[in-house]
Amino acid sequence: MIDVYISADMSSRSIGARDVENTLRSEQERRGDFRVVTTGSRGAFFLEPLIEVATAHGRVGYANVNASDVAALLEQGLLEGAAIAPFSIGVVTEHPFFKGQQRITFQRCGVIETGSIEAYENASGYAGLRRALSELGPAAIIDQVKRSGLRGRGGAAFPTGIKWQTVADIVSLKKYVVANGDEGDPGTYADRMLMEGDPFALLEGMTICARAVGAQQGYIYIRAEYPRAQAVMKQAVQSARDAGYLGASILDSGFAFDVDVRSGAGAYVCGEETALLESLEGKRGMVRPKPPYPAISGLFGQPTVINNVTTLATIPSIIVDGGDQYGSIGAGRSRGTIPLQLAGSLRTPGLVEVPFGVTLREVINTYGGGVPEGHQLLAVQVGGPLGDLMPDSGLDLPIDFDAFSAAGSMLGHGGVVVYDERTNPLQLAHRLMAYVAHESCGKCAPCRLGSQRAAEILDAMRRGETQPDDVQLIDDIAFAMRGSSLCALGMMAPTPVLSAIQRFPMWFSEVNDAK
Amino acid sequence: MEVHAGPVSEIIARHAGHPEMALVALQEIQAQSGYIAVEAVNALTKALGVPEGELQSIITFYTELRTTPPAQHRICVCHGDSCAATGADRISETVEAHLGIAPNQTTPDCKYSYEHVYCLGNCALSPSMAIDEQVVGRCRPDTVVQQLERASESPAWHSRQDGSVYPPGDGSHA
Repeated sequence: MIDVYISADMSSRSIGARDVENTLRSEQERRGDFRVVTTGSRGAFFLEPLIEVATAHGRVGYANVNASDVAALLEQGLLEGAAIAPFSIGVVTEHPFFKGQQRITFQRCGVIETGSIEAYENASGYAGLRRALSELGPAAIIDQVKRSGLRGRGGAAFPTGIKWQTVADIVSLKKYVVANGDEGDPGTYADRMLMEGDPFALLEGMTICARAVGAQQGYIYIRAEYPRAQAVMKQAVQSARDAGYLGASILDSGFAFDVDVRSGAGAYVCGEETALLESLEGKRGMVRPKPPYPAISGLFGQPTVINNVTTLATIPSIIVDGGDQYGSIGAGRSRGTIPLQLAGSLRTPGLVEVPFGVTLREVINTYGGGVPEGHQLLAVQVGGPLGDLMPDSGLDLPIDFDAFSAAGSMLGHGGVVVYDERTNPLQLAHRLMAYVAHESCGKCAPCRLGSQRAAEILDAMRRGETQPDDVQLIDDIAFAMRGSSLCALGMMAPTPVLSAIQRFPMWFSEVNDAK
Repeated sequence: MEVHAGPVSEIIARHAGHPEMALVALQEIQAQSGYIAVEAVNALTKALGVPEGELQSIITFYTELRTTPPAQHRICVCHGDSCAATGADRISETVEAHLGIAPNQTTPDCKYSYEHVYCLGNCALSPSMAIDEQVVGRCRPDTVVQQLERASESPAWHSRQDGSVYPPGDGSHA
């Protein structure tokens, strides 16, 4: 039986993959000579809806298929992998978009049947947990994670092994593992893709973590905007329980661990770890002062590992191949690979997993295809809505947490949004500040009032109603927010506008003229 | 007023004595009824031992929670960074002109509610909007109206009259 693959990823379905899938299924019933397998997406969204067929030469792809094309494609030899214009893209992994990538975290995403524990096992899934339970003790697991050099992919880039060690060292009857799937940074979608496309990798990573630190209960907190990710994860939790990978005695080892899936309710700040914990406790998602850090006093006051989804989903590969192997990739103190999410004004945006060290320009041009013809790059924002705005001349930075922070930038969760000349710069600056004003949890005054006031000033600026000293006023507000906000939201909120004032003075030149 | 015996009272009973389940209970009640009625809040206060003021503060904090019945169809136009960079403004202008309402308003016939959201996670296919749970990528002003009309023909996302038919999203059609 020939396997025909189609993505069930939310994004793929947003441009018709569901219709293609339904048509494939009715053709399958009629013909009976193939099997429809639903996967996540590989991240080349400009190729979606993408049908793949398993052939002797590998998986062959047919891109940008409409439901109305399916019958003709089958007639013309899709099942044999025939070249059919204009759909054929040949062997998918040979496509220029994929060729230079190094897929570790996303090795299975878009490849294997999503939600099938058997497909996951056949793709080396749960080999890491088996190794963690039989061969390695808690200390050896943490040692492997430390050797890998893995740093948190949620944005803060804290060394994962050290966080785990902190929790493991505390004696406590109750400990928790929390997966942060509240991927709220506009322009990011890696966690969503992983949860929809390779849910067991996250569960396996959490279970290995629980084994290492001695936790009994895990939570996956997923934002409300991701209903499909929630549904896939819930089903995966049930399948893992049924197969003995979660529960009272995992793989008959006597080790007990279970996971609950929780939904967010529309609050960006809940992506901040302490606000997320408050929300998990059933309260308003208000930020807690740190210290104490969640590793010491986290969920319900107990020691808690809280890691980003992408971080945890990377753990199984590290345990299977060894921390040294993962740590041999990368640049400086940024080890391994990072999934970058390309978005905005690009010809071929999508998810790209590359080793640390390649330059931002390379990523934007080689994978993203550059800005569409006839347009010019205005600015690039990396790391979400709190990231700085970079001009074209700043794009030769290597993808590396420390190189970014040395340049006053941040890699964050790996979102890369490209703006072209069609964006009004002052409107952009205002929108980014208004976003913070909207999402501020309100606990501390610098963030609550500062973002509101700065947004008002920028709003006036973009309407041409500038007052003298407005730029200076923004600078003063920014100083207060940076120095005295309780969490990263308030501290980093002024970054986009400050970077714009510094690097794009011409945006504000009319403003200066008005003085 | 009391909460009648039925799914909502079952939800409340299931979480009785567990204040930490306040948010989950509110989410479940909304999934069941389409919104959180004042009677449900009163009953939840007693069952969970959480003061009513605290429950209200939770409800007002989370933008997804609502205390009034929703419209039949929920239209969310994404204004996240990527969508803003690729013409989200033109999409919302078209939606606003077609529906005749501004963000956070509902049409007089309660057919559509309309809001701006900040990232649906569909950033590689911007600009995006969501009609109920169906995300639509690569929106264009000239196809948006057609999409809205298609939504009006599909069954209501949940019924205003009878909360019990609200289908809690399994995400399968998203």
